[in-house]
Amino acid sequence: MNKRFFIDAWLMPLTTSDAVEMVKLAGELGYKAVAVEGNDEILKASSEVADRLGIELYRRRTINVNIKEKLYDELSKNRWSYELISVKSNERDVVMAALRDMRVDTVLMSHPSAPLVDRHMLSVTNNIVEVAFSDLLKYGYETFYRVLRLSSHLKKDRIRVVVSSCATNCFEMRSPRQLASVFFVMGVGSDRAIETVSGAIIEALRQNKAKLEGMLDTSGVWRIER
Amino acid sequence: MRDKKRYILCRVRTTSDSLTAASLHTAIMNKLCEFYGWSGRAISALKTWQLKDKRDYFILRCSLKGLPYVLFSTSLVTYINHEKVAIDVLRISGTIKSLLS
Repeated sequence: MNKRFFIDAWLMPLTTSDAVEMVKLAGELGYKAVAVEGNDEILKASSEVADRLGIELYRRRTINVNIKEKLYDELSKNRWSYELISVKSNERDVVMAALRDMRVDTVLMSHPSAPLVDRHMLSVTNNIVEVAFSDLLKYGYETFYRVLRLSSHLKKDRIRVVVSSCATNCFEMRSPRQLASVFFVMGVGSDRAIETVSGAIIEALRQNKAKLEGMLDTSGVWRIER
Repeated sequence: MRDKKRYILCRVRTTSDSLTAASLHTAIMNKLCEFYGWSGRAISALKTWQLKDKRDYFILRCSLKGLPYVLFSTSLVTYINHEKVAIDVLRISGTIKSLLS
């Protein structure tokens, strides 16, 4: 039995039957939490299965924008409806804004059109950088190069990174060890590599869930119920 | 000095029943070669076996040094013999005995 708490931070099923299968498979592979993106039906079906299997389920929304004002609009609309807000953009300005905005949880940096991480970005980075494993399958070297650059910053603890599968069906899902191997293979220590599928993001998601349920004040004070 | 080895228990999810240890070995080796070249292949020293009673379960043996390469390569394999596949790493161990216990 695994003692670590593994999370797949991005499942993107296209149908409800896919959602059910994927959440079941996530349980088999050893995940104890998943973040699902989809419409209400998909989220409802996933939630029912997750409850039955004892898996924590979080709702996720990926904001795909290239204009800063649009990003702020989308954030104000969606922040209080989802536990995990992620931003994907091709524009450096938007990525920098997302990296420092407190309403954002993760910023996707693995797609080939994403700007490369440099020291200016690192100086403002407040949020978690996300690597989608499906980008590696889809784009190969382009993504590998970007992840390799991220790994050098991860080794020096300059950024926090999460690896998610971004799977749309069961065949794109991988076990936590395999997702962690992306950084393990780039010379990041095994403990630090495993932290990319079990570390910082879980605490952030639990806090977001508590905020949405009214259990945690925005100033960080927890409500204790008797 | 003798190299340390690691054994990996894998499950292959596929639509076909004709998957063999040899075809799995070839697919993983091709991915290894694509990313790390001949040196990656040599360092990993990969061997594969298929379980007799469970046909979709396989045991991979690799060197300790080549473990990250093999894990990464198994996750990149998406097709074997034009059939869609996904390889799940279920357990990693230093001996076959503890791997199967």
